[in-house]
Order: sequence, then structure tokens, then C-alpha cells
Amino acid sequence: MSDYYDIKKLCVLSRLEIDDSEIQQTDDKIKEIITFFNKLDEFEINEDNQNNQDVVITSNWSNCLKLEKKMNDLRDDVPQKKLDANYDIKEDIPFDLKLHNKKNGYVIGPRI
Amino acid sequence: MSDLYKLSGYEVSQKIKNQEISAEEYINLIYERITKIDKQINSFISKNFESTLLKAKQIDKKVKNNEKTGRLLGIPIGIKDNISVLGLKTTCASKILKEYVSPYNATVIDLLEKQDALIIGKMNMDEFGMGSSSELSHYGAVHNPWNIEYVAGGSSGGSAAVVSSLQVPVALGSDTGGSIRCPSSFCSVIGMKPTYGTVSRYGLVSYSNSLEQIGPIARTVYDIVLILNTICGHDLSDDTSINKQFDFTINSIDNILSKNYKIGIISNLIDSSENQVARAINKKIEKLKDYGFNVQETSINYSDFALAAYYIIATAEASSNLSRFDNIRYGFDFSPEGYEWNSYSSHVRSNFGEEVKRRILVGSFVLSAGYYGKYYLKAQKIRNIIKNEFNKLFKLFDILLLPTMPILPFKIGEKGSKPLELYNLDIYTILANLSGIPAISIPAGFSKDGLPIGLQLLSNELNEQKLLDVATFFEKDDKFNEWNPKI
Repeated sequence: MSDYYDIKKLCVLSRLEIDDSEIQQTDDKIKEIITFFNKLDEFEINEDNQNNQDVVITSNWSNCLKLEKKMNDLRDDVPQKKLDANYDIKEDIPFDLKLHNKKNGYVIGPRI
Repeated sequence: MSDLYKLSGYEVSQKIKNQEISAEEYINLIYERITKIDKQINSFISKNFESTLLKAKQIDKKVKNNEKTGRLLGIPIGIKDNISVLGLKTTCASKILKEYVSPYNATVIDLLEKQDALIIGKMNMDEFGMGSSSELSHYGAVHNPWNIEYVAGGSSGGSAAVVSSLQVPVALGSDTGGSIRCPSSFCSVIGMKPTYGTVSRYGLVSYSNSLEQIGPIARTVYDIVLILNTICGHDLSDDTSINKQFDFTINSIDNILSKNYKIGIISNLIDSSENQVARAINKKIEKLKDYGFNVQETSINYSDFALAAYYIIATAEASSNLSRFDNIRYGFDFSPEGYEWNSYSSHVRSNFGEEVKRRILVGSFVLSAGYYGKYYLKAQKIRNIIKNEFNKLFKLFDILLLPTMPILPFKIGEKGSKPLELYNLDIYTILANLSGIPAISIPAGFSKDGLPIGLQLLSNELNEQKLLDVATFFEKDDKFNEWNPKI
């Protein structure tokens, strides 16, 4: 890491737009940060430091963590307020919010 | 009457309860103070004065009718702008969310309002909590009330500065790598990051959800206790929240001394701090010895590696969490005409600030297939090692003591263009986030130029009471709750 194409690739992955004129500066700063992260290469993970079990660890958390809902629980099928394209957000929120991407009762989205 | 803004939150609620002042009078006075002071500090992003005034009138009615009232009766509270409040903008100090209005309350807001607190406004911060100086805000830098040419610390800079400058008695911040403690240290107030899981994060805009936690900032330990007793507790909407009842208290000095706390002094980190910081912390250690606390020197290994591990985890989580901001579900008014899906999203997301974009890019990099093991996986292993080291230390000590920040507050603009210099400032605070333990920053004195210094105390998970005890000891001894900036 890294050069012009790496940064461009990262921008595509991250869905970010960076101006060509800013690529060099971004590249320099990211390089600096990655070099700092490479410090971890100096750290050797071995059994001594990873499984340091000379102290028995009793977590206070274990007694406290309790799932109230089962993971596959579904919510009750309660009818909700009808939402359609003519739904006016102002009914729920007490301020003026005019959406410009609403036209003829439809929400306009970008082309896929 | 004019000095009412100097009162702590508890004193305000008592005066309102005893009808010595009305909530309406107090809010009007506070608003006058905010209008006068905040031009210099820039701690507010949005104000909620009209709604607060209406609620204050309702509180006065309740008091007059002798109805049951909450423990935070009439206390105005500033909320960091990444915590959702129904009907108020939640911008996270970002251009991309400048029009976003929250359609619901975060759990902490519901809990505060249930106790009759008043949400006075949303506080300035580093964009999405990414920074240590509160300069990286779309709404401009927060100024330090002790010297407005200096930074207030970050990322909850607005929350700390608004409390320090006597605009409100209490505020909420969020702490991902020291974002409550750093500005509390720089502004000479008390800031606490509770144990991970004690406070619900439902309604907090996520930056790095395995590290961050909501916590209080105040001028007195009593106010910290009041807020903790209100916001800590189990929440079904947050599966990481701990199922436990919390009841913190203020103990008497005799009671605190009788507990014979063992305090570990992290001498390697004190020694590597700026001279004036180290001197102030050493003075506090002497004070503990004078009162007969059991004080011993110790050290923390791997702190440099911890910093790199922290930033790898934080940026990785940020790149994932911030992917939701595509201007379809959240965002501002921007016509999609002329864009296809991906280009629309990328174009809109370029409205993130420079530091946020950088962290998203770095996060995508460390998570990418070729580098995942080298960075992210190793960082998680190091996180585990740090946690084990703390577990060992807390077998020997009740509390660990170190500076909150290695340096004094710096001038606005001094470190703006050097991300790594800013990252290095977090070296003492990220330890508590990586290991999930509670930490508190309390005022520890001033430099020769009058800039605040903070002392940090750490304890094992769910041992917040120990931190509150030692903080109470220092508060009684120093009376730091009476230290106010001349503003």
C-alpha cells in the first residue's frame, strides 16, 4: 500500500469520491497511518501473552448478560400506520421538512 | 439571583422543588447566559429553548400541585449531537446529516425526561466522534472556556465546554477512545465513561460500537452520580446492555478511607507525560499518601501496540457503520437527477469531512481480504491481551491512576493537518475502551499558563463506585467543583 490505483480502489470499495487533486495528499496520510499500524508486526503473539491464564479471570459480566428475547423471536403482527407515497412526514414531526425528491406522489430514486 | 448559573444540577433541582426559584425563571436565566457566552465557545449546534421553556412551565405546575417529581427536576442537560432526540436535529457535526431530524428518542433521553430533566440543546463535537480536539466539526471548532485560543478537547468538546463555562450544569457525551475524558480534562470538569454495557447505546449514532459508551459530564461528583443512577440499566433495545440494577452513592470521607483502597500508580505513563502534567499528577499522589491510601507503583505494558490496535478496530467498525449514510435513508435534500445509483451514493458521501473519509478508507483497507489477518485479527488478539493485563492488575489493585492526557490543551489549528499526532493523544484513554472498564477524569490543577490538567482513574468492570469514592475524596480535598473560568 499504496499508490494512485490503490486509493481509487479503496474509494470504490468505500463508495467515496475523492478528487484527483486530493489523491496524493490522501495517499500520503493513509500511508503514514498504515506504517503506524505495521508496528503490530513487532508484536509476537505467543502462548505466554495470549493465554496468560496465571490469573483466573472471573468476569462480573457473566452473571449479568441475559437475553430477554430468543434470537428467532418475531414481533407480534400488529397493524402499523399505513405508509404510502402520500404519507406526510409533518404529521409525525413538528417542523417543516419539504422533500425535493418527492414528485406526483412518488419518491424519486437514482437510476439503477 | 444572578449567580444561579453557578449551581450544580442537584442544587438547581432542590431549589425548584422547594419553590425557591421556578424552573421557568431558571431556564430564562440559563438561556440569557447561553446567548451571552456561547458566541465565544461555540458549544451548541442546535438549541431547544422553546420546548424547554414549555416543559419548565409544566414542571412548575407539577411542583405547585405537589405531584410526584423526578430526581432531575428542572435540570437543563446538554446532549452530544450524536445522541438522538425526537424532533431535534442529530447532525453528528457533519454536513451529510445537517438536515437530519431524529424521529425517536435514544433510551438515555427517555430516561432523563422521565426524571424531569430538560433537554436544552445539542452539543458540538468532532464529526461522528472522530477526533480529540472538537476542531473537526462542520459547525466550527469548540473553544476552551479557560482560554478561547485553545481547543476544548474532543470529541465531546461541546458537552465539556458548555458545563465548564457555566452554561448548563450537566451534559451527556459519548466515549469511543476518550471522547468524554479528554475534553473533561482540557476543560477542568468531571467526565465518566461507565463500564461497556451499563448504559444503553440505543439511539447513539454508531461510530465504533464495540468501544463506545454514553456517559455524563458535570462539575460535581454528586451530579455524576445522579445521572448515572438515571441512565444506567438494562435496555431491551440494546442487546449489549447489562442486566443489572445500579445504585451509586456519595460516601463520606471516613467511609471512603475505611475501605483502604489499593491504588496502582501507572508510573511509566506518568513519566512519559509532559512535565507540567506529570508534576500535577504526582502532587495528587502525595495527597493520597498523606491520607493513608495504600499506594504502589506499577506499569502497563503494550500501550503503544494498544493504540495501533485501537485505531485498527475503530476504523474497521467505522467503515462498516458509516456505510448506512447513502443519502437514501439518512441525509439531506439532494436531487438524484443525472446520477446512477453508485455514483449518486459516492457523490453524496463526499460530503463527509476529510478525517471521516480517511478513517473509512483505512477501515476498508484493514478489513480487505488480503490484509484482514495482518491487521484486524491481530488487533483483536492484542485487545484480548490488554484485557488480560488489566485483569491481572485488578487482582492487585482496586484503582489505577494515570493522567487523562499526556499533554496540555493546545492551540486551535496547531495539530489540524497531522492525523497521527492527534491519534497519539489518545494513548492513555483508549485502554479503558479496549478493555470495556470504567474510567473517570477529574480536574487535577493547572499549568503555569492556567491550562487545565486532568487525572484519570480506572477500575475493574462494574466497579464505578470505587472511582466515585476516590473522585469524591479529591473533590472534598481540592474543592475543584469551585474552579470556574473567568468568562
